[in-house]
Amino acid sequence: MDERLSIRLRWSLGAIAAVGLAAAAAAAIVVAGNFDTSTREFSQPVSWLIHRTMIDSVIHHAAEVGSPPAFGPADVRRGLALYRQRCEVCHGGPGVARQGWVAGMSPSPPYLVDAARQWRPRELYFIISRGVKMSAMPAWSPTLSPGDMWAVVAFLEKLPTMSPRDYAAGAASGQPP
Amino acid sequence: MIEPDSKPIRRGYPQASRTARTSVLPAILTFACLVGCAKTGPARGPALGDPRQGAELLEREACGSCHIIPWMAVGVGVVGPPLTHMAARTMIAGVLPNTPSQMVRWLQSPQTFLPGSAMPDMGLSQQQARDIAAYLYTLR
Repeated sequence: MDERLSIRLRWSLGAIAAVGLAAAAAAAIVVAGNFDTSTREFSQPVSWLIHRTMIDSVIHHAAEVGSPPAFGPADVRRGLALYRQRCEVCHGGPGVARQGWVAGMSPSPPYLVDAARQWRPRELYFIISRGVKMSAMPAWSPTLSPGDMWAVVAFLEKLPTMSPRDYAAGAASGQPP
Repeated sequence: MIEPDSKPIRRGYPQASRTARTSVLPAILTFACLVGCAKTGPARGPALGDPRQGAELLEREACGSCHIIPWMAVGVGVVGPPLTHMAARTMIAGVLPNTPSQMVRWLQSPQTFLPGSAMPDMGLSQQQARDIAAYLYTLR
């Protein structure tokens, strides 16, 4: 009985010591300031890891999002208008550059011309609605209604089949491409 | 109408495409060892800048969101053509001969040479265009 308690006690003390050491090491790393939080670029392997983490996180968490509604031309039109208003600044468009200062962001917001070929609709909705930590991508759910956010998804779904001219014309006239 | 969840998806990371798997993934794994090699390249004429600055600019300008770019983790886009073997290609975008000075002009204003294309004028300075060109010319 005494021997068993002693073993358990030793394991517990060992676990506490390990956690304590890890916490002390983490504190030392933070306080020393060696981890560079400025936008200086990461090495390629680290960049790949961060990128991969985001992709896998979205794939996993998008299950929270309900089934997409059916999309029609009116949704695409509304989505295009919202996209120009809210998204084009950072994400550009076919033939349309991002604003110049956006190059100062890290991670850099991608052009979304074929985003719909890399992500499922509910994943796009999740990214728009919940944003991306430690990037400049906001969570739009406090600002935009679910209907508006699904409209942007509808537009993104259509975007890979739109020419730059269609995009510009759609933006100018408000008509669907 | 679109069938939302039933279409094939190409994920935006290297394993998703064969070209990226063969050219980008091994490159990522060995990039750290070969950073020094980025400085060597073909025609290092006066038109070209610093390839390492060029690599950083390619990331900041999100060029990888439309182009496959060798040695870049996020260079997996297929909106535009891959930039593999850029130093060896004869033409730029099928409209300009591939020389350092033409590449710099192209990068500063693609719309001048291909109006209406999906590649926008990104407001690059001449120095920025030279740096990006220098990086592209390390891709033999």
